[in-house]
This record gives sequence, structure tokens and C-alpha cells, in this order.
Amino acid sequence: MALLRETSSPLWSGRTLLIGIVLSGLCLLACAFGVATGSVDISLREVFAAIVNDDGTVASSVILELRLPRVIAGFLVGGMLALAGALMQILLRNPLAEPYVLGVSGGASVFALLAMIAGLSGYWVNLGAFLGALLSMLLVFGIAHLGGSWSPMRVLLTGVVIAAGWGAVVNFLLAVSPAGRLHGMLFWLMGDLGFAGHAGFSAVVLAAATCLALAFARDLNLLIHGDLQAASLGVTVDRLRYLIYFLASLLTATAVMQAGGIGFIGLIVPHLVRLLFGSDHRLLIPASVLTGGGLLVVADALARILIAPQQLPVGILSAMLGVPLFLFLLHFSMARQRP
Amino acid sequence: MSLLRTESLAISVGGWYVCSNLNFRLEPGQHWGILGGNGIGKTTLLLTLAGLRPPAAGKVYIEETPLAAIRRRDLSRKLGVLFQDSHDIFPGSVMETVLIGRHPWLPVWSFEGEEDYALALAALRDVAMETMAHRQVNTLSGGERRRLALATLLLQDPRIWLLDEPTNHLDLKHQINLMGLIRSRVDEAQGGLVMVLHDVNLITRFCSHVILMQDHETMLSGPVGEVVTQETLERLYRHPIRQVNAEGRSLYFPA
Repeated sequence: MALLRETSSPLWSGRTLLIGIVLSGLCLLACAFGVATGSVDISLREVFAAIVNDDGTVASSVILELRLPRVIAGFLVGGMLALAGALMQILLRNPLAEPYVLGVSGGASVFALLAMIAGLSGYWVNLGAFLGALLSMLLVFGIAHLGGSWSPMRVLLTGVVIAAGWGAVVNFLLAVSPAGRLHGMLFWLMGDLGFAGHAGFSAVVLAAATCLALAFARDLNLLIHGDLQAASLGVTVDRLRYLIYFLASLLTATAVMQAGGIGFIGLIVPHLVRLLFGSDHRLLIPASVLTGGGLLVVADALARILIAPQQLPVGILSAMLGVPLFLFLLHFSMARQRP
Repeated sequence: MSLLRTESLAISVGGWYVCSNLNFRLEPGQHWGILGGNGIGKTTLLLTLAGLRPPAAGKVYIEETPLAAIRRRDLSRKLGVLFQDSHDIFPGSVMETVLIGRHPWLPVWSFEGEEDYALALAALRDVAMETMAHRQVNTLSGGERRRLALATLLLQDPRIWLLDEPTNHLDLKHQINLMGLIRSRVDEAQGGLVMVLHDVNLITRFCSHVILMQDHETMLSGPVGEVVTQETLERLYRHPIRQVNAEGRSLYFPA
């Protein structure tokens, strides 16, 4: 019976806790940086005063109505994309997988652009994006499932082809759109945190998905070793894969609805976290959410000030920050592994 | 009570039958070996017995319960599989990898504790890898990976052991040591063993019973002493076989 005894390791949870605290601290710093940064100079003290007590000044309305919602949206979107990326990489057994690889964002883009062409804006564009993302998710699921076998390769190929199809439609829509609308459409495609609605919905989705993914974290660890090995160690593989697909798609759809197509975070953050802390999902999942959120908040702050008063699409900055960071870590970890 | 039993089992791969109407029984204390040419369906048979592949017809019973009615998690405490090869997409450390063998025994929400680490270290010691606990799996040699997979199975601690070519990549010393270790662990648990091997002499040395898979209609099975002969092996491999007797044992080698 000793084998069945419930055990917990103070060592392991201690390490996890420490990393969690450090990452949370860094995220708070990133958010403070995001709130304090912008085209209007506002000191950190004023920022704090505005958050604690809305005194009706210009500074406090800039903070409370513009920057804070934007920072929150940035954090949520970054967290959702990083988590979706980590899940996709496991689902597809492919380190190149990222949230958009299965065409979820392509479907979203097509419907968002259609809404823009129809002259709609704001919530309607976002609703279009969300519905398009869900439609694409169901389409890939249905087609990949037709043959009965739901293998990673089959899902990946189906998704990539559907994504290519959406890409063609997007290009078509851009080609036939009036020039006046093109700038807005391109900005949407490149990803933009300027519209910060739905934060409540995003927060619920991110929190629920993180909790669910954490509940299955040890099962995800087993999936790394292949479907058969995982099944022989007690994982109900098909059910788990449906869950991952559903979660990753919902996270991506919500992120795209909130901010358009922000690239790179979903691909690179999970790898970054793996290089730093290893690939145990009990740590990888929360660490990816925090790192993705923090990184996107910083990227967005820089996007707002680099060529102020003009703003850059945040996707450009997230890549500019992420590429050197990732390459440095990759080199560092490979140097460490060499005998 | 049989550990594992099949009832009129038929297995097909893309319309081609691996076996039909197979009635097989694994009793406690038995060690079965499976011999057969390449592509004859040995692995497919093993995966079907493990419930990792649906049969075309018939049923598999684990301790007299239909396999399909057993939850995966419960099954993983009774039955363990050593696969032909392993492929990790994001390789971790040796310790992390061997600890997955504890998954069936750990409550869903818990982390591995001191006791699990101690058991894992003991399993690594059994396969002579205790000094490699911190190595990354992708830096291991083929034989070391094989021993790691075996250590994982030791940690899983099932009663029914299904092994697909367990001696692959192993050097001579480890082949003999580990086969002996597996057999004694199976006996300790009053369990049973089914393994696919290509080495006839390992089968005659470590198995009590054997299945010779030729095609789906001619499957010869029974105690090793009765089934494995120069003549049955020649028919199985369609190749001339020689037999010598040394130290009270029969050894077979291709002519």
C-alpha cells in the first residue's frame, strides 16, 4: 500500500513557488512600465495616485481610461497566445507549431475584414473575428476527423492547408478593398491592442483555460513521450487531445478577437520557458502565461513610444524583443549541454 | 485466474489478418516469448493485448474483466508496455523521464515526493544508470535509452509485462542482466510476461512458453521445450538452422 500513499515534495513545490513569485514580480514591473509609458509624460507617483484615487485630472483619465485597460488587454492577450502555443506544440508534436498554424486566425481575419468592408467597426469587427475563428476551428476539426484517425500529422496538414486558404481570401479582400480602409485593415492584421474591450471575457477564458490545462499538466507531460506511451501509463489520449485542441482554439480565438493577429509570442514564449525551466507542464503552463503576458505588455509600451506620437503595431516589437532574447537563450543552453 | 486471456481474437491491419481466432492465456508465473519474421504482426499483436489497438473481432480479458471495460488509469497499474522505440519531442532529464512511470500511482493533483524519487533512483540503479539522473535524455546512447525505458517500466510496477524487443541496442552483459532482472521482478509480483524477441537463444533461456508466428493460420504455441526445435525454427524462418548442445542447453544458430 505504500506505493499508493499520497506524496508531495517540498523541494519541487518550493522551486515552482520561487519561479512563480519571481515571474509574477517581473510581470508587475512590466505592467508598471506599461502604465507609466506613453506619449504623455506622467510620473510613476501620478500613476499610483490615479489608480488609488481617481482625481479627475487629465493624467488620471489617461491612466485609467487608456493605459491601464490597454496594459490589462496586453497581458491577457500575451498570456492567451503563449498558453495556446504551448498546447499546440504538444498537440501537434511539433516545435514549430503556434496558435495560428491551424488557421484559427486566418478564419478570424477573413470575417473581421468582411465586417470592416461592410463599414462596421468596434464590437462587430471583433464579433466577426471570434465567429470566424470558431468556424475555422470546427472546419479543421471536422475535416481532420473525417477519416476516423485523428493523428497529429493529419490535423497539422489539414490546418495548414485551411490556413493557406484563408490567407488567399485575406489577400483577395485586401486587393479589392477601397484604399481608405486599407490602413485600418493592415493594422488589424498585424495586431493592435488599441481596442481594449472584452477584457472581462478574455480574463475568464484565460483563467479557466489555465486551470483546466494545469489539471491535466501531468497528462501533458506524458504526451511528450508519444500517444502510445501516454496511453499505456493511464492517459485517455483521445479525450485529452480534444481538450487541448478546444482550449488552444478558444484561447486563440479570444486573443485574435481582442487584438488581431499578434505573431511570435505564441511560438517563442513556450520555447523560452522550456529553455529556462524545463518542459514539465506544471511549471511550463503558468510560466508561459506570465512570460507571454509580461513580454507583450513591454512590447506594447515600446510600440507606443518608439516613434511617438505615431504608434507601431505591437507584433513588430514583440518579434524585435523576442528574437534576440530567444537566440541568446538557445545559444546559452546549447553551450551548457556541450561536454 | 488468468492474468490475460483472449477469446477468438482476430487482428487485421489494412484488411490483412495478423491472427484470427486466437485463444491465448497468460497465467501467473508464465513467461511467453513471441518469435516470427519481420512484418508478421508481432508488435500489432502486443499492442492489441495492451488495449492500445482495437481488435477486428474477439475480446481481450485482463484478470477476467473485458479490457474495453477497464479505465485506462486502472489498466496502467496492472499492465505495462515496453515499446520498440521511444521518441520525445521535448526531451527532459533522465530523472524526469523515469518518473513518468509513477504517474499511474500518483493522485491527479500531486507532485512527486521524496518516496517517488527514492523509488525512481532505485529503478535507475537496477539498470545501472543511477549516476545519470541529471543527464538530458537526448545525450544518451541507444542502449542507455533502452535501459531508461526499462527503468520506467520497473517503476510502473505492473503485473502484466508486455515487452517489444526489450534487448534492442543492449550489450551482451546488459541483455543477460536485465532479462534476469525482469524475470525476477515478474515472479515477485506473481505476474506474467509476454515479449517479442528475435534471439531464439534468449527465448529458450528466459521464457517458459513461446508463440511462433508464421501467418495468421499457423501459430504454434506451447512450452518452449516442446515448441522450439530445429525443425519448427527452420519452417518459421525458411532458413536452415543448426543446433548444438552445450552446458545442458540447446543453442540454435543460422547455418
